[in-house]
Amino acid sequence: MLFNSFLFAGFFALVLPLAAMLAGRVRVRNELLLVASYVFYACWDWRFLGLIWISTAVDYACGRLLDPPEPAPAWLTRLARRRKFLLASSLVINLGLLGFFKYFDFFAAGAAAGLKALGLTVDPWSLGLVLPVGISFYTFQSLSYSIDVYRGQVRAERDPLTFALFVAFFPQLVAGPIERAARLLPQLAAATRVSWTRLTSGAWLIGWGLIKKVVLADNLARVVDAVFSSHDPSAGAVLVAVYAFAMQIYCDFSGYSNMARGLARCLGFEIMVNFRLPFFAANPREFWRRWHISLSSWLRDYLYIPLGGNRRGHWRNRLALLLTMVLGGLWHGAGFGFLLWGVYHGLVLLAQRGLAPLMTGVRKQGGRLAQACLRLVGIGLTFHLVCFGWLFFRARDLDQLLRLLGNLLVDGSETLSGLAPMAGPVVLASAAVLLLVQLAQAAWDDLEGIWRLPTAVRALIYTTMMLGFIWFGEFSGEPFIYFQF
Amino acid sequence: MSRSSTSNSDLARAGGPPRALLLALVLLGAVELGFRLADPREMIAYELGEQEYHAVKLWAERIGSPELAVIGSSRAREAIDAPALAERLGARLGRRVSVGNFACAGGTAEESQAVLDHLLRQPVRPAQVVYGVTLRQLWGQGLEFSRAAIFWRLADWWRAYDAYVGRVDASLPTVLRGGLERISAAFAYRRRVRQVLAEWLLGLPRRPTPLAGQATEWQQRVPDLSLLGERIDDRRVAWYVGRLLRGGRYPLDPDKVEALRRTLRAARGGGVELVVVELPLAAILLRHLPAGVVEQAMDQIAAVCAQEGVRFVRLTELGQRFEDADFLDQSHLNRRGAGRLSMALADRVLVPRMATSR
Repeated sequence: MLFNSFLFAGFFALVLPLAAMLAGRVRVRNELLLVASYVFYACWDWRFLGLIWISTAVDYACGRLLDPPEPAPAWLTRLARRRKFLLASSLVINLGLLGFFKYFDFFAAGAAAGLKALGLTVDPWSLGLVLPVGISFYTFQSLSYSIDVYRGQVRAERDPLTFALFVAFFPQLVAGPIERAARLLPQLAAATRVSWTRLTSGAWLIGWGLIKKVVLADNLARVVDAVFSSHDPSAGAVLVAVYAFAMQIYCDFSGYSNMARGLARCLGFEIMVNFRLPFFAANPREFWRRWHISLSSWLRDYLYIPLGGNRRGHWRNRLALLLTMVLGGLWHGAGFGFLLWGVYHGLVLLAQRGLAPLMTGVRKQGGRLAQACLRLVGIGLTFHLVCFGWLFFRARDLDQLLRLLGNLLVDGSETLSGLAPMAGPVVLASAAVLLLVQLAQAAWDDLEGIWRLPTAVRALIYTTMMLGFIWFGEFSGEPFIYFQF
Repeated sequence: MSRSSTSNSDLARAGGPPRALLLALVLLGAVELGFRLADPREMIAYELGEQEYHAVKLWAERIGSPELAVIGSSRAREAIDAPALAERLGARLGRRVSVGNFACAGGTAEESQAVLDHLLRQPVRPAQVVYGVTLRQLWGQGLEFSRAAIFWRLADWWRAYDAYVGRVDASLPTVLRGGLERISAAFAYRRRVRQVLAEWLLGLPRRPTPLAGQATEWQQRVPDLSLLGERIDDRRVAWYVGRLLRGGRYPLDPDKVEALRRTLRAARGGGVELVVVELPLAAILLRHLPAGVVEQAMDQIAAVCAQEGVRFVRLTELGQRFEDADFLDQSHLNRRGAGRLSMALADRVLVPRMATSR
């Protein structure tokens, strides 16, 4: 059930008034939202509901055991002392399920290739598993809860219903943002109020998210797909496709995140901002503070810092950073492209760290104008570094990646063969719309600044959005890119 | 944890009366009015491919059918030279006859049925229908509804949902969008907006519309292109036929035969005179098709036509022999071939029928 589908519109039109009516009755409202969330998920594939239930049961039990009620029976107190064992159980089960469904075939094929290199020919043992939608997102969300309880950062949730809803809350179940327990659980445990203010501002977020998806991302997808499915596109075509993909994936994923926020807000909940103008980042580190914030902060808090972070010396720090980025890449999927994408970003961040003292010196010596210029140069450079990285991410396989890199870097042909005739206008128009909205967003600090505009201007914006949606929307029901992760 | 930058004052502003939204709806209403006042002939986008189906749907709804409508696949679309046919019929019958080519790329039996059903439920319906067929109409393994659904209403979808459990679920959004197109002209003509933009930006001419009785794009662009010009060789045709074969056999689907039967019944029930016409195929294609499959398909079509009391015109009745120079490629006639077929069809089949039916 895609957010950009009639089916979801009908589903939400049914859930919203019921949730509004039950807003003050927490338990009944949560029961409704939990059933709705499971129905939402079952529309993808009901067979994988069992995996959500396993994650929910394991982390609920882990939380209760790590933070038992007081006074607790003696056996529970004894068990609760084995904190590392309890946390390890949650990690093993959650990551085991994720690893099995997401990576088994990849590593089995890799092992077979490795053995073949050693002269031993074996058939790769592929299970041909279907990837359960959203598994990477809800597994990380559920896991972060157990870790937070283990660290004493949040108290264990006593109510299984509330916890189950925390894991399965439908606006962010299949593609995030990966929420933290400290932020979402208290909201789920409290009464909400569905107000006109929340509805209108939620609708605005949904509307803009929808435009980003069906008007910008899906039209850009046509340009990108034409090049990436072409056998031998020219350097110019690859270059345009890479820029187009940078915008496509941003519009696709941030559009989804906007819609998730808007849907949650209509229901009376606030979920986190997942993108904060990433193309205005002046260096790679800043980029990761602005892009897929819920994942990058998850990786920082639960991987990078436990691996040593900045505290354990120069080399340990570099290793932690590289490993975090590699695992972040692999989180997206089992493929060499994602692995290389992670390695690439790890190396870019390491390079930035290496150059940091030099850059700090330059920044200190320059005046305000020089600093502004430096920032602009940084934005341009970061954008291009990130765009280059998308080539690893988007390539179908290693062969295609090498061919495209060869075409881009060696061939140097200036023709645009491989591009659809309307590719240029679509990419330029999308870039113009994005730039305009991002500048406004930068000035307002968020999309909500629209409410400061005069009524007539807002009316024009709404009309433009509606006509843009009607005339240029792609209604073929393209799924969101991040659903596959 | 990420902060939310939404300030309370911004949100409070969101809570006021929705003046901007109401104003936007008024503006949208003005745009809708403008689109409704525009000439639908100028507003319906026609492009080869799936867009043909959307164009046929809108044309029938907003303009209506001509006196003679052609249905079928792209083979039928290219086999009829609509302007030449209209002129010949006009000259022979002594009155103006409007001809529209409503055949669509791919057009299988169930898709042609959906087209005819759609034409028949409009206020302005065709008096005569020419249904051009080849064995391709019956090709397949099971009915496929994604394009037929473009013409459906909700009740049609519901019936299909009942009859073909699990096979039409994905078509519901198409049906709902079709419903929206009936309500809103701004939505219905959205493809033309894109087309105008592309024409303007890329300096392209407007594409011809066979629905309006114009020659098709291929007929206009490459009127004399023949097999030799297109380099249609045995390898290419073998590859083409290979894609259609299933286990070495050319599948003729009994469900498609039934779809053909329903089409003929619909025409009869709707009081429309329909004639089924066998279309020619290039010799190079016939060489690569499994032996006897064309005759087998034509026999099945002939049997259905006989049972339903519909005239089936075999190629032999038209007194024409089609050669390589008449074909654009292995399965489509070029304009020369289309002209010959259209004249023969007019003289031997349509004029006698139309002279007596008016």
